Amino acid sequence: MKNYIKIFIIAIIGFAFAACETYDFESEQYKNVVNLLSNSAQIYDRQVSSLRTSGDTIFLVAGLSGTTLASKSYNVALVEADSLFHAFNKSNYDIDSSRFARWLPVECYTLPKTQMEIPVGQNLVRFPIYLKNLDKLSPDSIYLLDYKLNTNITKEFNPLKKEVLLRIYKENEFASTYKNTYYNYTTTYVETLSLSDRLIRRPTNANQIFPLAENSVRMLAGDETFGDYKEALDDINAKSIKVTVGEQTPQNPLARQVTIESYKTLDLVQLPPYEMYNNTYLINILTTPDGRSTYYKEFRLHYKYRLSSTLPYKEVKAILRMEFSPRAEQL
Amino acid sequence: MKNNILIFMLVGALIYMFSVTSCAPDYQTEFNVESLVVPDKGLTPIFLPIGGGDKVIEVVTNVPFANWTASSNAEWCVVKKEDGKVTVSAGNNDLFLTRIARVTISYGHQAYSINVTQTGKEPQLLVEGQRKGVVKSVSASPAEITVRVSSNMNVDYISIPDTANWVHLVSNIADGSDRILKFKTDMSKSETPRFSTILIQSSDNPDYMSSFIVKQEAIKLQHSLIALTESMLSSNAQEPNEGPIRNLLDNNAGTFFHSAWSYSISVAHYLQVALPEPVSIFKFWYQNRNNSNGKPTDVTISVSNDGQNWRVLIPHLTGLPTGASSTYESKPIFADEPFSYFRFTVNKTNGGTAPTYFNMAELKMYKSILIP
Repeated sequence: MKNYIKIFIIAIIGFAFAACETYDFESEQYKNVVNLLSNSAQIYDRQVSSLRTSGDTIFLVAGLSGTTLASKSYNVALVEADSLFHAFNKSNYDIDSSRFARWLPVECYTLPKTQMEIPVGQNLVRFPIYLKNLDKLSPDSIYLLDYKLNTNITKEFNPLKKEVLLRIYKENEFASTYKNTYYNYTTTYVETLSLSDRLIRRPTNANQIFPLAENSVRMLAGDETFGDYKEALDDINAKSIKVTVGEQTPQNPLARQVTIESYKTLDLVQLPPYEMYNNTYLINILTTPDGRSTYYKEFRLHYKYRLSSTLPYKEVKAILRMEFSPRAEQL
Repeated sequence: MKNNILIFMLVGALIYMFSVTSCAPDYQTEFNVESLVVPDKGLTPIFLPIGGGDKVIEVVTNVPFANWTASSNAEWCVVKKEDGKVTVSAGNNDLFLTRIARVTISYGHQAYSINVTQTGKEPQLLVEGQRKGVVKSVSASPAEITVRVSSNMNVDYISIPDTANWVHLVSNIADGSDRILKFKTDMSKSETPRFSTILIQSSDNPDYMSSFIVKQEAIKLQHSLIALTESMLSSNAQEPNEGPIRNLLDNNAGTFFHSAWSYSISVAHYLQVALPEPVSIFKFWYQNRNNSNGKPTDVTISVSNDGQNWRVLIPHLTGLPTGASSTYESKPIFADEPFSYFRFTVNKTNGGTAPTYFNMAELKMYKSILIP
């Protein structure tokens, strides 16, 4: 009896191994069709473009389905489309046209090739899109490109993945539109310059920073707020400042001079450097005695502003700080 | 059964022996560990004198010379990598401030950073021979002040506080190695002396500051009470149920004027006075109603020659009292030309923002005359 059991177990194990060995990994298990890489909403939003003046390149990726690489070449041709663009606006904003996403202006991109091929032995092809002049885009708007497969040329395609919306994000050294960037006020004073109503506030809140160009960002002045971001355009235009980061300071290579201006209509005057509020952008490295360092990006600002000519100026002495990891930024 | 136990024990012993031998350390293989160490002594911050110099940092390493690096983040701080050491050197510092650099010695992800500091030229910035404490006194009338600033730097930042906007910089001219700063002061509008601290800085070293104080004497004014009557007072929002405007003149703090609460209008409520004769310098006094609400906290003071065309003298008068029966007396207010109508427009009260009601118990106005 015992021998029967042993023989039975050995037979089962042998069968299992033999079954695995006969699996054919080499044969194609699925249909080879062309698709445009996107998420479940048919949006490709994983790329962030640098705002550097020389421009940046993002890619529209056409893939080939199946379990093996292409055994023949596949022609992939693109044409401009708009159905996803309109669907995006309708589903997200309905009739609130003021918040509609916008087409990326023609002056901001070039698609040099609209037809490429997935070669034998590959399973994707990447269409480069050269981006430029992104500093002309508002950081508060959504910009999109919409492309679909030219089905007259690309015959074998996945009908659910034949069109893609490319969302354009931008970033510079200081901020990004991909993720909200917040700098925290620390050691900051906002003083109302009025003899009859002198008021000193010490804000400790976070200020959201928006990238404008390669070396400039936008932020709210002093202790102003814009409330609900979705309805804040007028407040943003009236209460925001533009900070442009310039040359290194002669005394510290980790510090760069900044210029503070009104973003749109704010009455703003940049004041002379005062103590640590020296109108610089500083990579501040705080090192503990045991050698560990914490890295901060800091705007050290000194300016005054007022929202109306009948109001007294508010003097702002501010340090805006965000911790970062130099190694993570190099990834 | 005994045979099975024996088989299990033998299998267990076999697995145990296999585990033990597989974990045994390998004492035979020679590992080539490459390391780079900057001894603690070399990690101390480096201070270089104004004239420059050099400093050697010892590096203990068996890493091939080409595989480790030494660098500086500042052009003025020159780093020279040699066998077993790094030499940090700098030339003369022509700046008027201390400059800093960061030297990094690294091998792979292992890095040592050493701060290098070099002192700069000694700045000099004196106002009339002093860094601070100089007081320039002027009369209440418009005047000019001249200040001599001695400095070996550019004198390009002169800051006059917004709260003392009666001082104006007229010129900043060179006189040999010094700068001559000329200021003018407006006529004083205050019955007490007023002061302004002027801050002087250089872009060559903004941290090195000097300052001086401008003191302006007070003006002397003679105030006479303007005899107001009910017919001179008016409001765009008289409340019909209580608080007639004549109560402002009855010398009774228990009665009051009340603006509209039983109906609403779309503009801020105001109180208006048609003066018996034109005035150009005046002040006003009022007493709040003996209750807690409707106290003005932000007021616009406007005047007019004809009751039609108004000019704002004070856009936002704030800091007003809100206590029951509290009183407020304005500072003398100077109009650019004589006027015949006065308007007190309430932008905010302690209860709300315009258009909102306010109340007041008593109102007085004074005509002021400048005494030479």
